[in-house]
Parts: sequence; C-alpha cells; structure tokens
Amino acid sequence: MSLQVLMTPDCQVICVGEDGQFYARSLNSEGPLEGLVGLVQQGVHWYLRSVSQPVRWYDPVSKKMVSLLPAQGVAFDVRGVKLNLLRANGHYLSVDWSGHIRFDAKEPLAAAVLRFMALDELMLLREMLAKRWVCGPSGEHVRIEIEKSTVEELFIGDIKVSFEQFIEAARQSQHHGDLLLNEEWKIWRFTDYNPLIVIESFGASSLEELPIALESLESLGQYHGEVMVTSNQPEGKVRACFPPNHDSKVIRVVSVEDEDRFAALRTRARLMADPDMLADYTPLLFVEAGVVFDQNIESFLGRCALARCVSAKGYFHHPEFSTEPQERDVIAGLKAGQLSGLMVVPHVTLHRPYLEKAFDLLSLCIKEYGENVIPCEAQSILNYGLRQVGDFSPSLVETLLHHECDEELNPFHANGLSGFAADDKRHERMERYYKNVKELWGAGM
Amino acid sequence: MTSALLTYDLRVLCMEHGKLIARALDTLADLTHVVSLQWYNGGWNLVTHTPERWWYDINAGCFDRCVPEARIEVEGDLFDAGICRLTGLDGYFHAQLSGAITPFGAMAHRRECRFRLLDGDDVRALWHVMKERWVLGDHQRLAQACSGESTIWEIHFGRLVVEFKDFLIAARERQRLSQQALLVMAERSIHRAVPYKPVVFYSLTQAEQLAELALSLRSLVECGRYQGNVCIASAMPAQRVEAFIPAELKGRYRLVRLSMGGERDKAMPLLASLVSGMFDDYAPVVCLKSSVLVTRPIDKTLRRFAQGGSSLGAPVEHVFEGDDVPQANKHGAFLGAALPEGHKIRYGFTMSVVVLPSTRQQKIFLEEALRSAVSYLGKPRHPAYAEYEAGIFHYVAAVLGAFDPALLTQRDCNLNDPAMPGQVDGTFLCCEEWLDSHRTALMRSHLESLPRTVS
Repeated sequence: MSLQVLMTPDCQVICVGEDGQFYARSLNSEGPLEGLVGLVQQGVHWYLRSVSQPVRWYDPVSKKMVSLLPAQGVAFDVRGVKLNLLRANGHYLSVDWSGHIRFDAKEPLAAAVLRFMALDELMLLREMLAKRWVCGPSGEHVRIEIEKSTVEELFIGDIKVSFEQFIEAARQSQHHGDLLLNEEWKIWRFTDYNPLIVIESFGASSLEELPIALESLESLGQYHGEVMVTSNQPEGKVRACFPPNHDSKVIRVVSVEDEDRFAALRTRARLMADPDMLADYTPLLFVEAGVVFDQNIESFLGRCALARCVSAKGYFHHPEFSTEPQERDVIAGLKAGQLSGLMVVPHVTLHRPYLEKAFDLLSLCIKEYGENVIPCEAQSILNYGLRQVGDFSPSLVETLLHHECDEELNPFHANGLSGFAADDKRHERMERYYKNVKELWGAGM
Repeated sequence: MTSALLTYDLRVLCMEHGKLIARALDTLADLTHVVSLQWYNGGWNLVTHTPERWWYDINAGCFDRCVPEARIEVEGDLFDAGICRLTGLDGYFHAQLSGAITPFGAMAHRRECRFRLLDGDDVRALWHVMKERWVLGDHQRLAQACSGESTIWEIHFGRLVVEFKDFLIAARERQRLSQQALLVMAERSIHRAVPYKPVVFYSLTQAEQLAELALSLRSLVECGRYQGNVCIASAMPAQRVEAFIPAELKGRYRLVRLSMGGERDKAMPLLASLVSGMFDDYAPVVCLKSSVLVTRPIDKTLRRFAQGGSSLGAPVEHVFEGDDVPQANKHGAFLGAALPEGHKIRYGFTMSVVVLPSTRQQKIFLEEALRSAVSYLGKPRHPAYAEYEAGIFHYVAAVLGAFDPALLTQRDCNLNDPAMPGQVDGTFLCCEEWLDSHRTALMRSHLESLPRTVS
C-alpha cells in the first residue's frame, strides 16, 4: 500500500505543526497542505511520517516528530473499507472538539474512525472541492458540502453518496467531463461550473456600448464571475469602459490588431485554437458589446454547462450549398447586431474538434468566394458548419433572447439578454432600455 | 523513418508468399504484412514488420531474411507531397492491375509508377476508414472510400471528391479523438459521415416468443428487405431458436445465450446485452421486441438512425390536447423523469423498438441505466419488474440528456390497431396484445396483408 493520508471523522486531514503537535486541517483551506501527515509501511511495521521533505517520523514513545525512523511504529484496527482506528503505544488516537489530535484514548472510540486515502485521491478530492457544480437537468447550482460530510458519506447539494463511489466518479469525470453519481437507482449528473463571458467589442462605436453591457451584466445580470473583453481598440480605452470599483482579476482584455469585419470571429477562432486559454471554463458565452443583460443570468449559464451541443441563434448560410429557402429569408431579413454573434460553448475541450472545422469552413468561404458574398452576420456560416458536423442546437439560446424588432424593447419582456440592431444610435437605445429595466426592478418587479 | 507505400489506385504494398504485391486496403484483415520503405545502412529497402523481418531483394524479385546488397532508389519529395517513384536495376517499379509490382524501364511518366509514402499510423487510420461503409450528409447516401475510382491524389467518397490530404486529415483526426464520425472538408464545405453496419437485436425471455420471432424475422426479410446482421439473445437452446429463423438469414445471424439466473440478465436482458460490448462494431443497433413487424424497406430508416450521434431513440407519442397526460406519463412521473415537453410514453409500446446509433458512443448511458436498473428492479418489492424497464430507460436518458424524441418518430413506429389490419404508416408495427395466442394471430394477419416489394 502506498502512502496513505488520514482523514478525520469531520473530513479534515491530519497535519503536524511546527511544534510537533498533530492538528486537523480543513480540505477547503487554500494553498498547499503544509505539514500533511501520512501512514507508510516499512517492512512489517507502519509509521506516521510527514508527507513533504525533509521526512520526519512520529515516535510513539517520545510523542515527537524525529528525523530517524523510530524503533516503534503504529498499528490500526479495521472498522470498514479504508476506515480504521489508529493506535500507538497502547493508546488510541482521538480527535477532540478543538481539532487537537492525540494518542490518549484507552478505549477505541467510534468518533475517532479515520479514512485512509492515497495521496492522489486526496488531491482529486481537493480539486473537486474547489469546483462549483451544476446539477442536471434543471441547472441547479450546488457545491460539495464537506462540512456536512463524514468519512463514510459525502454530500453534494442534498445528495448523499458513499465516499468510494464519489472518488470513482471523480476519476471517470476526468475522461468525459460529467460527474455521474448513483443514489440507489437514482442517477445524478453534475457538471463543473466555471463560466466565462466573452464580450466582443470591435469598432470605435462599440466603446460607447461596452460600459452599458458590463454594467448591466453586474447589476441586472447579477453575474460576478470572469469576463473577457476582446477588442481591436486601444487597451486603455477599453479599460476606461469598465464599471467603477470593478475587480481587475475578473475582467480581462484581449487586444488584437485586426480591423476587418471578420475580426471578432477570427479572434474567437484563435482563442478556441489555443489549448490552454479557455480550457478551464465551462460554459463560455460569446456576445457582442451591443447587448443589455436584463435578468439574472446564472441559472441560464448553469443550463449551458449541461448542454450537449454548441448553441447559437438558428440561422444558417453557405454561399453555395446552403439551406432551405426560408433559411435564406431569415438571413436576408437579419439586421446587423441583434445578438447574431451570440454563441454558447458548453465545454471547449469537448467541442473543439467541431468548432475548429466550422472556423475552417468560414476561412475557406472567405478565401473561395470573397468577402462580398459572406452575409453581414458571418456567424451564420459557423452555424452552418456546426450543423453539418452535428454539434448545433438553437433551442438553448432561444430561451434567453429578447431582441429588437421595429419598436423599442419592452422592459416588461426582459428575458435575460436583449440585443439591439447595429447603428450609430444603438448605445442610446441600450442606455434607455437599461434605465427602464432598472427602474422596473427598483419598483419591485 | 519507416513508411508504407500506396500505389496510385490506393493499394498498399505487402509481402505475400515471399513476393511483393499490392493489395486493396479494405481487403486486408490486418496490417501485419504491409511492407515499409526503410533507410538502412546507407540506402532504401523494403522490409516487413513481422516478428521475423523480411527484406525485399530487387535482384531476386522476392523477400529474403538477409539485407540485400542492391538498394532501391527513391525519386520525389518524400517529405512534402509524399509522392515518389521507386527504381531498381531494371527501371521504375510499376503496379499492375493483378497486384504484381514489376520494374519496367520505359514507364516513368505513367501514374502506375507513382507511389505515396504514408506514416504507419496514417495507414492504420486510412485502413479503418476504408474498411467501413458510411452514411454521408443530409441525404443519408451510402459512401465508401475504396470505390475503384479513388487514387492517391483524390478520394471518391460517395458523391464527394476529396483531396487525399484532406481525407487523410479526417481519418487521422477520427483515430486521434476516438470518435465515431468522419468530418471531411471537401468541395468547399464540411461533411459528416458516420459508419454504417446495422444489426437488429432480439432478446427473448419466454418460449412463447419464438412463434412471434419467426413472424417478425419474416417481415424483416420480406417486407424490410434487410441485408444486415441479426442477433438473437435467449435462454433457450440454440437449436430450438434456429428452427424459427428464415433461411434467407443464414450466415447473417448470431445466437447469444442469456443466463436467466444472473442478476443482470434477469433484471434487464436488453440492457445487459447492449452494455456487454458485443455490438460495439455495429451502427446503428436496433432492438426489436418479437412482437414488432417491419412493414417496408428498412435501409433508409437505418441510415437515418446511424446519424443520430450520441442520442438514442425509443417511441414516444406526442401529447395531443385532451389526452390524459398524468396517466400517460406515469412511468416518468413515478421515477421522477422529465420527458421532453409534449411527449408521453405508453406501456409496452415504449420499449418495442429501441434505437442506439452506436453502443460505443452511448457506453456511459448504458452503464448508468444498467446500474440503475439492477438497483431498482432487483428489489423484491417489484415482482413485475419488466413493467418498469421503460421507465428506467427514459429516466436515465432524460437525466443524462441522451434522449432524442426526433430520432424515432411516429412515422417510424405504429401501435397496431386491431380493427384495421394492414392500415399502418410506420416502418415498425408494434403488435401489442395481452394474450400470446391473440398476438401471434394478429401478427400473422398483419404480415399477410403487408406489401412485398420486388428487390
């Protein structure tokens, strides 16, 4: 058996302080677990030792950490699969209410049963604890409740699963992205939730729209996660659009030099192609700067993380093959803007092969047919490509959209995200709408 | 550097009975005897990768265990286009239609003297793609890469003509990502092709089902004009089952023994068989109850099923106004499953036909469904466990987001109407009757009235 770390009944790990005393440390604590103690077999005996270098050993006789292998080791009484009571020098290990750990109990205590865990299992558990989760199919946000859990059972939201099952499911989730847990015959699907909203701010006029989009995202969208702004404008000017008191860690700027009308999509393709840039985010929401977030968006993002396909507005175009006549009419009737660039990617790593093909198709179309035959909304070609490769569904984003037709948007119909047709008065209409929705909220809507 | 060589018409150079010969990639059972061009001791040689290495001696015109003195000259830019010509003492190597590779002096300008060098992994990726039949694009046309028209410059893949390098990229990507579909860039667009090797699967738990099986198989062959494989799982002796299989299916069926004493087989024989991996090479897998008749040619329907991706299908009915929705949804409500809006399921009918585009792609769903089924149906409080299998199936599919109501639509599947035999729209006709004798009589009456199409 490899080195085993020890988990206390209240799901903390045993560490040793500089004073040589054992103490329990929470798994939720940030940073490396310094002073972590593990159990290791040397010959026929078991010993407690520090995990990190330089190795120090627990001597049950002197009750101190020593640098040489002690003459006497520790022993354990089996209480279940990987559940044991530890004893040394005739005394059982006990954990008191203040977190102090000593070998002082004369009788075995049920409340001092420890879980033995391999180091890689502990690392995996910490990785899972650091994540936020959404539960399918409704997209409810949950977390692993380590404070409520015991050495036998773990709580994720209100769901209780055995520790062994959780570790096995966590291992599997690294292959397919989902954490699948069983509670008798019931099945629960959880997906890692770490959203990123990418706002594409291209062209000088977008700098008038960006402040409204960012402010609405925070105030009405009630979103406090990470945001990335991609722009071809000077970075200083982009940063000047950020809301006052913003968290600089939360909003990032990616500047590009591209000037043509495909710049936003080209930047998106470059972001996707980078294996590390977006890999940790689930889901990704791409929007242009001409939008107002008019309702809490977290629940929608939760459903995005659970989606099986890339989602965007359901319109498709290919200069040659395309599409049904009615689809061509939709393209012809589109006004620039109006959430046309909206795209949801549930998990970049899982969808990258399909997205790359779709972006390749866009490049090919620009090269083969020239820019003039590409419709004002080049996203339609991406959608066509994604549909061709079987990785497209419009249904998800359609639950969110509220976009301008001929009249101004009605704040009573706020649905999550509102888009405005692109013209030089767009920012004024956005501001008016944003104020109207805010007033409604203030009126207790 | 070791590389395999393809002839101009996509045959690969192999060693066969000590001779150098070109064989079509799709006819090879494995790649053991494919030869490589290898730089050794200052010159190029052809060599096998068998445990005993054999070297091609251009003087003798056959393979030998010793490294030959005479070397092969390679002309062309190997590292760029990969197209080359090989020369020996008597001129350029030349691939004949018979497969023989012979040196011949005056043929240098002809395409028969051109070869494409491919990395070993690329050959393997290409071999996997060429062995399979594919369903291509929106119109579900069948496609195969080895059409006789393909060359080392362009591949004829169904109606598409694909540049060789683009086809190779697609094959390589498929291999790398272990995905089912082949995504090909050709003719200024993207095309998705999925493998097509259908299998129809029956699982029988009672001897009474044998008479129904015979009728169902007859409909499959006569009305469905089915050309693929059939698999029948049952707890009955093989000889007894074989007596009910039509002669037309000879050589195309496989019998699997179900162990009704085992927890899994007993709880859910259908799922236990699907999860076992025996259908992993097939796409799609269509599971039929023995009481289902096939009413019309089935090939196009199967091709559409193959394109279903990672979703699966089982019949659900659209909810019409005035329907007793709570009653109809009781499986789902009972198990807490949420069906897609506007759909309901019905006892018996629901599991009559189950479509899985690929068991390999749906492995997670199948394993979870089986685990759930064993946990739930294994409880003694549910003696009539078979009644709940539909509920479990839908429940797991709904939780995992794996269910697609559009895959198997009402146009595919009908519940029989005893009052109007022969009045059917769907490809599959589910004959549901409580009494076995009534059901068999009903099936027989339907089968006699179904039209046979001339092949």
